[in-house]
Amino acid sequence: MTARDEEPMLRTTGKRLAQGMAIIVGVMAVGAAIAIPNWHNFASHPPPVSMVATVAPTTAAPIAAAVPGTTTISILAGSSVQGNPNFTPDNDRVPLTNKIVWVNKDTVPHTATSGTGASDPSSGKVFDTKIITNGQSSPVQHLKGVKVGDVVPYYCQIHPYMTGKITVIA
Amino acid sequence: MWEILFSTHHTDIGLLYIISSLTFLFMGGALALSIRSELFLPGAHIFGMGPGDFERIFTVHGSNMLLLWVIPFAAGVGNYLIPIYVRYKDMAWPKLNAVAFWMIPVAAALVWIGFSDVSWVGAAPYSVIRSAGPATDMWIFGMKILGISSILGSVNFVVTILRCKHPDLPIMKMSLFAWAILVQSFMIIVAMPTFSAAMLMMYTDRLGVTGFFNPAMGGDPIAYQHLFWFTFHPEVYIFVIPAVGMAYEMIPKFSRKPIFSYQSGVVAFTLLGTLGFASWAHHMFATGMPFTEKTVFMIGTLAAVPGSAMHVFNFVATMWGGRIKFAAPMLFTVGGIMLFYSAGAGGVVNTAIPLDFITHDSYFIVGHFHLFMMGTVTFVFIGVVYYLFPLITGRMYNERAAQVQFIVVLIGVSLLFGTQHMAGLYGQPRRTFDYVPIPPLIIMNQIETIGAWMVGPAMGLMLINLLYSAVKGRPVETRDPFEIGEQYYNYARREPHLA
Repeated sequence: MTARDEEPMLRTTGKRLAQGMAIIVGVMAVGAAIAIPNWHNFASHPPPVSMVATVAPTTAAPIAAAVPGTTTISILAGSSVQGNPNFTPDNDRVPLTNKIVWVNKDTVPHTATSGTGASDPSSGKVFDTKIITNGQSSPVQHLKGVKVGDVVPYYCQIHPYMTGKITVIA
Repeated sequence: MWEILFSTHHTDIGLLYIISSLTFLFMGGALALSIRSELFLPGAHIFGMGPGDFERIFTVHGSNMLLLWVIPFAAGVGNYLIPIYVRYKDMAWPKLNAVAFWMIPVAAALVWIGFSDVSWVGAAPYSVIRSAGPATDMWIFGMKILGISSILGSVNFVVTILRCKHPDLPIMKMSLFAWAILVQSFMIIVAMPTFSAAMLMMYTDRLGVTGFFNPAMGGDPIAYQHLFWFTFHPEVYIFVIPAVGMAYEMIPKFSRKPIFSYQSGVVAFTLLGTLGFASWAHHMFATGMPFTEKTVFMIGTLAAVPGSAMHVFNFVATMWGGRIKFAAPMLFTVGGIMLFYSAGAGGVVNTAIPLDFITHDSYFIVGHFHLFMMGTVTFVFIGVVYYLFPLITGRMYNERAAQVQFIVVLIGVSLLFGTQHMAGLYGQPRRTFDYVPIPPLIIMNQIETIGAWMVGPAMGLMLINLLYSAVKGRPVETRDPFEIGEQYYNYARREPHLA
């Protein structure tokens, strides 16, 4: 190859070119021999985290079982996409003494926070579930400072376009 | 064989970079042809290609072209010429230089054998929670290795230029190509670690150890986009700046005139190198950023325009009134500048927030950045291949074949990427192997594919021309093989005994 301070010129011969091409083509052939037969094998194992994510909903599901005196509201799968149905039922009639639990059936975290949005000064005053991770249920919520006949709006702090209402009944 | 593996001389390493990157250009080009052939008609047609296969092919095409063709080629030409231009015996750290090169085949093997489907941006959360391994894990490690390789190469360039430059050579007399490599190297050193960190975070996220980008674990996919684009918007300038530097080498020589304004070239490089970091989030306007943030990044993007315009003006003013010889290097360079202007125009209008919402993730974007990468960077790089060919081989390529290649590639590229802009405005989304079978989209896709079918054989002609001419080409005198009265570099200053 080139020596130091020599004019950097390479008069290629046919033999030298053939050797170079043989190296390149040989390496490509070895690569192809590994890649082509294993085309599907190389993309067949889901990442380990996907298994972690699928375990969570099954362990959380029993928590959502109906309990007397408890109102359960679901957060549907796909709720994080704007325009999709989210809190179900979204205008629930809840007895004043009842407890409320939100069950997150979506694949991303949500909250159920009383108020009309982050700029509402009374946001979170009546109840606030904090973050409910996917597949989990919220801690039991009690309605604070409301009376029969009140309508309490609420929203998701992470996805503010997700909104719902609770009408307090006797 | 052993001399190839263990040589540390800058011309040998430079050649290894150039030859391997050209190999990857042709390999990536083959994937591009398969993509375009698939899209000639709506529906699945070739190789039993389903959406998963298609995604794997365009992922490797993109990763390959950007990180195995463009950056290594620039590093190769830099290796070959920078020590000569700064009048030093070699690169500052020759062994480190060799290590930086030999990391590339390893990374390439990981990317090419795995064929991941994450797309070249590796967007989270898909890359974290869904994309299948081991292909994607191999892709992540390939990207990390390429990042380390380019950082090592860049450190070497910076030290060679700033510390090993001959004391008699003032920095403001240094070749503008050396300036380009200097600015590019600084940009790589600043930008690349962020991407390397993001790759590490992505990998630990995939393992379930962390949840940086995984919403189910409290992470934020938008954070990945910030980290990614903080590296890869400056990376656009990292791709284009060496091409502009090479154009500064060729245009004055083939115009037989000095550069119109050396200082403005230096200023424009520095401007682009700095302002390139002020526009990354313009890739993310559609993620729900606040209006103020969008406006800041729109202005940051527009701020880079004067730097690019200064270069184009400099090129035009240098050519103006010159006795131009339109040999292949000059043809490809001028064609590249013309397409640079078109690509830049697309970028300027696209930075307007309302238009960006329409074009986001559409073929408009594909056309825009391919005009940069193929139309500008690759055009100038092909010009450089022809320009350096006599210096490296001592033989001349076939000029007529190169000119035919230029004409066919110019028409093909214009048809291909110009039409992609229109298809995007018509609503065709990118990264899909199928499209709505309505006549306008079918016609536009067929025009694009015909353009690609023109480019492919023309590039094949170049390959044959180079291989044949390397052995059988007419021997030439290496100082002025193009007979333009200009030398590659000042032999008298480098080696006074030859004067």
